[in-house]
Order: sequence, then C-alpha cells, then structure tokens
Amino acid sequence: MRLSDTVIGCGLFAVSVIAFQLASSFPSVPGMRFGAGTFPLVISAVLGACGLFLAVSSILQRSPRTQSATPSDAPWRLNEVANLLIVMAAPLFYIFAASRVGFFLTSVVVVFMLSIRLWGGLLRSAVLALVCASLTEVIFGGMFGVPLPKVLFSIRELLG
Amino acid sequence: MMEILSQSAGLVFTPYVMAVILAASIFGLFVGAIPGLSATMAAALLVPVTFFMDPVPALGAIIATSAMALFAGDIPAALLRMPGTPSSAAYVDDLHRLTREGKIARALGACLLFSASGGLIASVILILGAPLLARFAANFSSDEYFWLACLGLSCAVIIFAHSPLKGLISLLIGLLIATIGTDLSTGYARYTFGYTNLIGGIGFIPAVIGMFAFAEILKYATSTDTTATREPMVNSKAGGFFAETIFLFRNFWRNHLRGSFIGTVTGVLPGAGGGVATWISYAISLRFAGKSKDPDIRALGSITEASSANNSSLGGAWIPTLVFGIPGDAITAVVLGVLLVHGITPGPQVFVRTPELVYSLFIIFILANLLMIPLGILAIRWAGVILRVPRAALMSVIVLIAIIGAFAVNNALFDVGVMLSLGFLAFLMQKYGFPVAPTILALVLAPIVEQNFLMSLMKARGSLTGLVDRPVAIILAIMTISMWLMPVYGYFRRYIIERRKQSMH
Repeated sequence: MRLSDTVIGCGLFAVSVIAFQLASSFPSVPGMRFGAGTFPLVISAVLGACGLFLAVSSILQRSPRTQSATPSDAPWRLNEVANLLIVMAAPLFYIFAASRVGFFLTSVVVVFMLSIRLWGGLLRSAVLALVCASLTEVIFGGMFGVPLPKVLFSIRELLG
Repeated sequence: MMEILSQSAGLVFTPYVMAVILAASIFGLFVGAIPGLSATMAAALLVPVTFFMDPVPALGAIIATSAMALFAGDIPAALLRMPGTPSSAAYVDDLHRLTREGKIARALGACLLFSASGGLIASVILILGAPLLARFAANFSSDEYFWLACLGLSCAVIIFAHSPLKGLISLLIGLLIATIGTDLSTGYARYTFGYTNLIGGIGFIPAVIGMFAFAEILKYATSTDTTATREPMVNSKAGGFFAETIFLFRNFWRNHLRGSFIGTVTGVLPGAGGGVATWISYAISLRFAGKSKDPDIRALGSITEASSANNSSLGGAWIPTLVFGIPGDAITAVVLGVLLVHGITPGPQVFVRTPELVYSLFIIFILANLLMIPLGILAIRWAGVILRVPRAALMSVIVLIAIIGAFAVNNALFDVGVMLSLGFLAFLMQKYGFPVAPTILALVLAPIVEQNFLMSLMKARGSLTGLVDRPVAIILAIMTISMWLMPVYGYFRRYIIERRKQSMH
C-alpha cells in the first residue's frame, strides 16, 4: 500500500470541506457575528488550503529522482499488515468481549494472541497472558478500584 | 516563604510519596532503557495509575519517570548502539565507540553525571524563573493568553517541525479534533453526529495514551527491523564512576553549563523537547571542539553537552507549563492533562492559590535528579538483564495497559475506542512524515486559543482590534505573525536565489 502526499493532501481537503460545511451551520452567540462555528471555520479553511498546497506541491515536485522510495513510501508487506491488524483488533475485541465474558478472560485472550503473533511460543505466551491478566486485574481492579467487569470469571474472587 | 517550604517538604517527605517516586524512577529507568520505548510513552503509561493518587505523588511520579527515562535512553545507546529514547540518538556513535573501547565508566558516567547535574541546573532556573514569570503573567488577560498560545503552537510548527507544512497540518488536525463536543459559548454540540459520548469532547488522556503508547506499538509491530540483528552487547560491568567525576567536571564544565543553558531555553519553547535540545547542543559542541585533536575528548565534550541539554530541557519545559498552562513538550502536555484531571488549572494563580503544590514540585525535581545518580549506576550495572527483556513480550503487555488506562479515565469503553482511533491516526501520521507532537499540543491548547479568542472578541463587541489592545498583546502578536511570515520569507528568498542562478547561467 502506497499513499503519496497528493492523495493525503486531497483527502485532507475533502475532510476540511465537510468540516467547513458542517461548521457553517453552527449557531452564533446571540447578538454577535461569531459563535460556535468561528473557530472550526477558520481551522477547516486553513486545513483545506494546506491540503491543497500539499497535493499541488507534491505533484509539482514529482520527478524521477524524488520518486525514489523513501521509508514512508515503502509498500507494506503482508507480515506487517497482519501484525497491524492483530494489534488493532486487540482493543476492538476488548470493547466487544469485556462486558460479555469479563475482564480476566478477555485480557488473557488479548495478551495471548498478541504474544503468539509478536513473540511466539505457545507455553510462554500462555504463561505471560495469565500472569499479566491476573496482575492487571489485582492492581487496577483491586488496588485502584477500577470497575473491571467480572461476568464469567474473576481472579480477585478466586483469591478471595 | 519558609512556612510554604516546610509545608511543601511535609507533602513530599512522606513514606508514601517517597515510595511512589522511587517506584516511578525504577519504572522510568526500565522503560527508557528499552530501545523503542520513549520517555513520553513512559509518562503516558503512568497516567492511568496517577488518577488514583493525590496531586503531589501523581506529579512526582511523572517527573521522576520522565527524568529517569531521558537518562536511561543512553544505556542501550552505549551498550548496543541503539538509542533507548529519540533524545539519545544525537551522540549514540560517540557513546558506543567509547564503551566498546572499554571506557564505559567515563562515557556512561558523563551521561549520568551531567544528566543529573543538567536536571538540577534546570530545576534551579525553574525555581527562580517560574515565580517571577508568574508574577509578570498575573496581569495577563484573554488577549495575551490568545497570542501566547498561538506563539507556542507556531513555535512547535515553524521552528521545530521537519516540514513546516506537515507540522501545520498536524497542528490543524489536533485543533479540529479538539473542537468536537459542546461549545462553551453557545452550548451547541459540534461534530457529534448524534453520539452522546462525543458531547463531552475527545478525552485528552485516551488521546495521549493512543498517540504515544498505542501508536508506538503499531509502529513496532509493522517495523521490518523487529528481527534485525543487533550489535553484540558490550560488557556493562564497570566501576569507578565516582573516580571519573573529578576528571569529567574539571575538563567539561564549560560544555556542561552551555548544554544545560541551551537545554533549558529549548525546553521552554513549545514543541521542542529533549530530542531537539540534544541535537542543537551536539552541533554546538562540535563547533566549539574544533581545536581539540583528541577524539575521546571531543566525543566526551559532545556527550556532556548533549546529556546536559537532554535532562535540562525537561525542567525548562515545566516553566511555560506551570506559569501559562502552555506545555513545553509532549511530556509536559501529558503533565497538563494530569493536572487538569486533578482539578488544577496551571497558570499564575497556581502560584498564589496553591504555592505549596508548586514548591513540592520543585523539591521533587531536585530529589529526582539526585536520585538519578545511585539508581542510574544500578541501572548501568543491571543493563545486561534489562536489555534481555524481550520487547515483543513487553508490547503485548503494553497493549493491555493502554486499554485499561484509556478505560479507567471514565470507566467507559468508548474511551478505548478513542485510544484506538487516535493511536491509528498517530501511527499513520508518523508513517507519512507528519509529526505527532503538534497534534497533542493542539489538543491541549485549542480550548485556550478558542476561549480567549472569543472572550477578546466579546470584549471588543466583535471587533478584531480586541486582540491587540494591550502593549504585551501587541508584542506577542508581532512575534507570532513574524513567525508565520518566516517560511514565506524563506520560500521567496530561495526562489530569488534560484532565479539569479538561472539568469547567471
């Protein structure tokens, strides 16, 4: 996947147009010409101009020499995309599962899956996941009083 | 004054606060020593824990963690030629060469000694300078605060960003994100799209955790060098740190003072931080070391100057944070979030209403820098063990801590989503050359800019002259607008030079 400054600039311009459009409908302070929309209007206008400038200057500067691969331009490898997706999936899984199966089991799955993918080793990943989930529940749930959902299983209840 | 000092000492010198500072110091040394984990990440990961503390231990923990992490970045730089934090990157080659040649006590001794001493010098400047500035700033009105915040944001974008255009875009993204939620002047919910969770705006703490911790994990997970072979680790068993102290101070006191001064000044400027301070100091030390033929002396001079700048920048960054509520770098932006969570709004009034808190922070600064020497020596001795901790395993654990940290702010799963979204945004920004620090500064400063802008307009019945009706505001406005014109001037200057070259050919 490659994403050039031209594409980013155009994307920013599109976002700023939407933001500007929405901000123009925000109400003013009664009796004044400014209000809730003033600040977002200024920001989205400048952002749009910057986005356009980025896109245009990227097109103008494009030459065989400047097109050579830079680290940011390097295409993503399949392995990197898989790693990215699994790390991104971890909080999403937590949001979905924590209230259904509880903090402990969700945390075990999150750490285990990440560890298997990034570190490797079934047994050591399992041990890491169990130790990590137990400690975080005891520290945050017990000592700091964060209301971590219990649902199916809780290490604090097991420990009494 | 003495009464306030004794009150402050009473707040700091309790077994609980001392234990927190000690634990935070060890945590900072550990995180800083792991390549790829920055001092800002250490501070961001500590934030959820600080919710459950009183302000003094909470801020003490962050001061101690960030000071230690900034120094600890030098340990892997010396032993593995891998800077632990970006701030150590400037002098990594010199440091590693000296260590490889068996001069570890001298090389890392210089880092440790001058990091601690640089931090102490900055603490003294903070202690003397902040109350004076606060007295001056006590008369500031909305106009001055508006321009001051604009000046801070402009500084972050124009002077310190690699590309001013991309820096400006990062800043505008942050400002736009900050406008989400209820507008205080009208009570209107902006960009909420009917989601009640967005009415309160984007939480600063989930944003910080996402942009500094989660984004770093994404960066690690997608980096191709996770399996790359490291340089073989140099033996870290070294003694004689104290014996080197006299030699180092006698030969490099000028570098030390210069580095500490540059670090403190750079720290005061918003958006700069330790990374910029070390590179500036490193470049200056090379210029001054021109006459010296001994490569070891030249290298030690550079290490001294840059290490001093690295840790003194932290103290410098606290000056605008405490006095104006304008963070000097990403770490102090995190600090500002912690202060606000604890119901403390930084500014000149903090020095009047809660002086004991301010002086407690000063005491903690001195303590943390003194504590750095014994703990730093232990960290160097145990570096072999610390550096063998597998980063991949740590990353899995950090993801879980980031999730709980974001959740713990309001006990809301929505904040986990905010952390994820902004973490991904920061990851993409970094990947395509957009700096993240201006976005965080914008998130912090947007309310200051907007509220003071609207307040000044209201005072002047809608006229823009309300922004420049006081002498200090005019000076700040001129400084800010001059800064905006700098890139335009640079662009036209380059254009004219190129045209002249072309006409000569």
